[in-house]
Amino acid sequence: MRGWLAMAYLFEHQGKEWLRRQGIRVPDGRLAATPAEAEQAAVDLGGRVVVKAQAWVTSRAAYGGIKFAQSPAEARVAAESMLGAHLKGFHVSAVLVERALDLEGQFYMGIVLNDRERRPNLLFAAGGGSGIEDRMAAGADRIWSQSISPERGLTVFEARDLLRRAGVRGDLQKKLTDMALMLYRAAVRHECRSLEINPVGIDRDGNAWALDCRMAVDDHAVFRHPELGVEVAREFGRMPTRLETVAYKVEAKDHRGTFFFMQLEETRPGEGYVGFHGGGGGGSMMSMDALLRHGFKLANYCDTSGNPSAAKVYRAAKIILSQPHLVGYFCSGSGVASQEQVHTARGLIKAFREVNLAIPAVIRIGGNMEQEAIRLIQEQCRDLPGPVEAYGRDTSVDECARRLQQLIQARGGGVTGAV
Amino acid sequence: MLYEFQTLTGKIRINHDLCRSCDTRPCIAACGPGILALKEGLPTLAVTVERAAKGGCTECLACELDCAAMGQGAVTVLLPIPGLEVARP
Repeated sequence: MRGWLAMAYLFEHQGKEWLRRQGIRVPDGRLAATPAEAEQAAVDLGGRVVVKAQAWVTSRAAYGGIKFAQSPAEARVAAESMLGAHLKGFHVSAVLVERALDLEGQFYMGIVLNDRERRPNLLFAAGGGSGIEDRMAAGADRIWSQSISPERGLTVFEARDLLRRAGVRGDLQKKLTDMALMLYRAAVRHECRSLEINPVGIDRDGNAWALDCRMAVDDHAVFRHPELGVEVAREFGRMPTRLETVAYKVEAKDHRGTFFFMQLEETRPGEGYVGFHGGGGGGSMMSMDALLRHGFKLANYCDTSGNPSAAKVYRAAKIILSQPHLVGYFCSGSGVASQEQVHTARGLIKAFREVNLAIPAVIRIGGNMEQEAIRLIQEQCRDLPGPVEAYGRDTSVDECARRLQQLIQARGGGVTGAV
Repeated sequence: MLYEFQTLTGKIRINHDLCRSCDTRPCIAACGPGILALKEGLPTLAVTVERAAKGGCTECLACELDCAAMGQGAVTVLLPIPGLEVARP
């Protein structure tokens, strides 16, 4: 149910707080970062609780990320099994401990932007809960959809009609209509690309509760919502690293060109990790493929393009070089960039000189003023401990990758799986 | 004596004591936007400090690099990266 555009995710406990403020019922809960905190939370909540790993992944229950506890001691054990673990690759650093409810039914409800219609949709399914994506894909659950006019907003009759089509009648229809309207208002207020409750739980008194919340805010709207506390509006699928956070703040404060930095792996010594600095998405992909063909591993992806300032390129290079265990630095983007490459050259030179670069670097810098850029790099980096070579549009990216391989091997460095 | 002015995201610092022994003044020639000029024989802003801070200086780094290569190493472009020191593994 995710859209394809960039979204900043909030944790379940954060999203639920915004639902609560909109008027939607949310079970009492406490956030816990240690098993002892989870146990105390269960005491505070009356003993019978649900312990939920806070992670931006679906199907948590199937992977041990949601457990019911009949006592505080059980809550502690459940928290111990989750905290510090990786749930579908996501590191769990906190659990939400919530009062358990006796349920008589559950549904799925969401407001999701439909890119094809360019408007939000209200979605509803009779069978909510963990694994709904798989059940819908298999045709076991049917999802009902109501297109919403952005000008008019979700109306009462539209919400009720959707629920009627899904077979919901009587008082429950009214309560779920109220929930849908509140959910829509929350989605609009926080500029969500999607805001989902799965499941909506129905208690024995017929009240509708948000038992989970997946809230994804449009990256480009995050700056308008400091109240959400989103530090890095990038869709990494995990928490940003400290270097990624630093890089994001550079980009946020300098509008000249673009700068994207993402760490791909935790680097280890002796495994041939290269600091990668691309210029333009397509050329960067081509360049990374060339590095992989030559046996390197990529420590990071980085793109400075759109005519970035030398200052921005400099900061990008400094951040890339802050990663440990790099055997080389590779800068290569599109073959013939429209941006002025002397700015890129100067940014790299300043960074290389400041760190007194000790690893080989190969720079493929085709584009405007490439000869001047190459001359600058060759002249102003020649006294560095690490060899720095620069090439233009006439040198293929594979030749550049091969040259980096040769420079590393000439210094006694290894490249795993080199061709 | 240190001569400083703000740029869009940082600061330029020129050590005028070193400049006094410079014959070539490469920083003036390197400055693409032309915001540096000689005043009493020393490189100084030819525009207001406000204009330099609001993008008059494009932070192209040419003044620093050319001064290091052909002058006295008197120019430093200070470009802070908040948080980098503590983020470094």
